[in-house]
Amino acid sequence: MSNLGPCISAILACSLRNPDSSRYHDFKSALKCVSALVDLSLMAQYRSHTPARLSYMESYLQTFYRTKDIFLEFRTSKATRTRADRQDRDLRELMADQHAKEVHHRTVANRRRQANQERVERSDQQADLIRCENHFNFIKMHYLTHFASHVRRFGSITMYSTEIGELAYMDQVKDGYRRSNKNDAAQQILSQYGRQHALGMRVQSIEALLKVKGVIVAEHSGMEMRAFSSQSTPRRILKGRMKNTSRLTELCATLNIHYADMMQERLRFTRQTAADYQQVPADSTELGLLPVEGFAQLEILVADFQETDRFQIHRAHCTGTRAFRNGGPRNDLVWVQTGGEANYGDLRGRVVARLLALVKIRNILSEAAAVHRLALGCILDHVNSGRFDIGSGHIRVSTRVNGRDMRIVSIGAVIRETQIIPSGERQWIVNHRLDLRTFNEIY
Amino acid sequence: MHEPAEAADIAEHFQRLGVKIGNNLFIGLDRVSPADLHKPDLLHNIYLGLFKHMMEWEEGFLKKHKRQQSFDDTWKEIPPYH
Repeated sequence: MSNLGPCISAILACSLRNPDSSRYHDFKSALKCVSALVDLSLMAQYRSHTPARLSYMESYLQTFYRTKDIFLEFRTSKATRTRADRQDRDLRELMADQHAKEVHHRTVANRRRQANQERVERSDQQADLIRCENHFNFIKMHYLTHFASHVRRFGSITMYSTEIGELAYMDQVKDGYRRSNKNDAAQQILSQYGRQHALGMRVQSIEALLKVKGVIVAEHSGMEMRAFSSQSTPRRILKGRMKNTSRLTELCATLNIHYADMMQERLRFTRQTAADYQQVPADSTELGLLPVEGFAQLEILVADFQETDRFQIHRAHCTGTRAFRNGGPRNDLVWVQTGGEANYGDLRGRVVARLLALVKIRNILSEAAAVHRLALGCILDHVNSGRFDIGSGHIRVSTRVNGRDMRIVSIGAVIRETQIIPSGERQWIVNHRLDLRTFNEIY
Repeated sequence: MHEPAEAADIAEHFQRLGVKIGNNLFIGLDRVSPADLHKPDLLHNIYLGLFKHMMEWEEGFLKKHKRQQSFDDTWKEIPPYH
């Protein structure tokens, strides 16, 4: 269920697209209600809060309470359902009694008409009862009102999560039992966990010692990497070298891209970044002769939200036109920083791009033989210049109309992975509730 | 100011500070310690509680407006992430 939260509002927005005019308001408030609840749950996961954030939290709650009535008719409890059924049965019996008393003969059509009338009356009465009885008056609903005050009084909500305790049951008890010989297991579980714990502590203190010396240990990977000199630009690694690409021409051929287009874009990129780079030949024939290496994966080290020394690795796959693990080709979607913070409305200078190729180009013509690590992406344009859609509360992107959507960027400009959900012809909804960081930045 | 150790000292200490000790509702209850009362828990309140309810309402809503199929289709079309 915790994985459902981030996706649900965007998916709902997709499935409720293009409403007709009579349903427009219903759809809008249903979306608003769901989004408010998801926003609240995301904000509840923050590790630290400011008064402004708490007031946001309260405003989400207000929105949720204001719009939740759209779902009222679907909140029928079992008791209400039983009572409605009983009422329906009583009414049917009453009507049958009346029929029995009426002795005069009627035509078939007359009887059918009356039966229809009675059915309508019965279903109306049932709907009335359900409407009166439905309510949102249950304890979990009320609980939400205490979230903000709880943060003020006791601190962040994640501290009191029982998730950790419930997970601990797995490795403290269940794993221990599995490893035991099932005979007098309690003792074995205890000593097993004691041993694991002691080793874990030892590993952690070694990690802490290493960190002092400037080595970051990435989470879940078990591999160590030298700390990047500047903390602000997280490290990126190209992985999975592909065979059969040694020149730009070959790369274009495998990707079905026109060589001239690629050259044009490559030259544009060179001109733009000429100051930063060693001399790159501006001549297209010379450029085409430079050795190229293609890669299938870009690892991006992304710091956890509100953390400085814990990282997650985003693995953006890009297999070009080749199959990824017996499936179709995989060209992941990433955020690319292209302009300043002021551009593209709420996205702050970021665009969504589909990775087409990851390459390393060695400039053998210059003396320094500098290596350029580049990402070739297909840029998706923002609909409504990157502002939130008023109806659905999401940002939409679409493919470029003029088709000139290829862009070369340095891999340093690739920020992290993103998720977009198809919504109609050549349009996608950006899921900005994907994780806390995206949620916090795109707003 | 030294730390008050005894219960009587605490009352005296607060009196000196001009703070009145009041009892909230829970203090009077038998076998209840206000400090150990339940705190909001994300897992049980939101993930397993409200999201579950919300899905039920949504299903009803989608059924009413005949959008169930497109909802399911959208789930299937989500591109891979991570």
